[in-house]
Amino acid sequence: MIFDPLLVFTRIPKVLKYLPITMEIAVASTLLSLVIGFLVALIKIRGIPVLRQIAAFYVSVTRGTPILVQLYATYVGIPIILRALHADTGVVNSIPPVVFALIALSLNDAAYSSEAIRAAIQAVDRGQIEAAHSIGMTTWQTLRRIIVPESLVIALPSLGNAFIGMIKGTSLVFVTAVVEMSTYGRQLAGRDFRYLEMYVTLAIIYWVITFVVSKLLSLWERKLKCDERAVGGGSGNDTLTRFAEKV
Amino acid sequence: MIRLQGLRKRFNRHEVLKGIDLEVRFGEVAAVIGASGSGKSTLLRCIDFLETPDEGRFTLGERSFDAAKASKADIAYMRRNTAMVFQNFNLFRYKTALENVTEGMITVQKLPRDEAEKRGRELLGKVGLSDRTDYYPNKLSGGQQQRVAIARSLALNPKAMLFDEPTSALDPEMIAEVLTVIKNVAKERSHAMIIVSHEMNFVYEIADKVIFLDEGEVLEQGTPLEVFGAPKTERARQFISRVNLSNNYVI
Repeated sequence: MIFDPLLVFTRIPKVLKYLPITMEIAVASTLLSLVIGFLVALIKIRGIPVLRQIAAFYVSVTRGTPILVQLYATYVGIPIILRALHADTGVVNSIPPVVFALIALSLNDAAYSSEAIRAAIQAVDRGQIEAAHSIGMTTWQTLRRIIVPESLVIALPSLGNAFIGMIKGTSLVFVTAVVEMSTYGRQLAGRDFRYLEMYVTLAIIYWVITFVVSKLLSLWERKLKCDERAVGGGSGNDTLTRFAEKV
Repeated sequence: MIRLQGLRKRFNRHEVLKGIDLEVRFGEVAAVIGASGSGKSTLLRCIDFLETPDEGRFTLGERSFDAAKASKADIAYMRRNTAMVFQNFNLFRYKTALENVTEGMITVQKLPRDEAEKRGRELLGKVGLSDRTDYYPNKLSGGQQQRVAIARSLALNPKAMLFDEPTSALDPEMIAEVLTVIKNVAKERSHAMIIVSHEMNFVYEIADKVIFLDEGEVLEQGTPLEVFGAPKTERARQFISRVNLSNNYVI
């Protein structure tokens, strides 16, 4: 048989055992990338000299090179740099491979999300910030209580896309010797050479996950846009009073 | 008492405020009038450090400092003890009316949430919005939004209240409700109030002191009767003759 449809489904449970690793890498590198992206965005907005040039260089290089190259460069390059700095070889060799994967993926993602974060922060109405200052909130309080929540509403669609991209991007971390879902699937398929079935299996799993994640993201987005909901928690109350006013 | 001495502010080469002296006691209502571009709003914004003054000395209550060399603590002190009501309301978009009012009490004054909410409801009641506590700003009319903004300012128990053209962005039928609320606040005599307004009848009625600002300078200062009734300068006479002051205006 050239293609065994049954095998596509019977292998799903086996491959799914490695889903937690895939998701852990995706979530951890996304969170890390948000922190880095936020810092880069602040550097750009504040126009801090020197740091601004470094940030621009980093974004340009990261966006201008393939992720695969970045993964290789991190996996091979960081140990070389550490050894050059006279770090203990035993220590360098004992760094878990997943660390390199996290570094490369988050730095890559942050280069893109920093732009989305910058645009979102700058889109917050100046009057909101002035109002926060006028009631005595400090810069930090204003950032945390007003600017971040408001810019999150603006940035969420593109950050959500980045997260979905990240889930799929984890399939490249075999480069750093990390075994996640795709790598494990390939290993499994190597035993009986049923590669095509395995890639279909993987495709189905990735598609289902990203489908669920994008649904959850749009629910979250709706929750954040609390001001667009009907008054009184969406009960029929509002329409009723409006109706009553008409009559 | 709030006192400004020799306040100067320039934007690039244009000097907007050319040495303003102003003193308002607690419980006193001062109204700043003048043509557009005379520096009225900039004056208020400097007090709240939304603009940085170039020169001058500020005194509010016990504290007095050089406004051009204000420390972080000076700025925090001014912002905590003054409250601005903006022309465009500037309510926090994703917070309900009640959350807008409690935000400062919880974040800045560190009041416990339930206490802040209790006081927030009282204040919203005071501005006539008890039934709108859970509404988001975009579900409120302009007049209602501005009343929430006034409640938000009152929540901080400020020594000075600053009103920056509070009715200029409102539909005519909503102006009265906001002016009534401001009048009620003024009656309490518990703050120094500085109001920038084009509502001359309102100013005439409510102010203890009227300041006529022209091209960044205080041209006239006195009781409403003095400034409106017998302006000393030609410029003020012109301005006041152009705004019609009716005697039968009822708020």
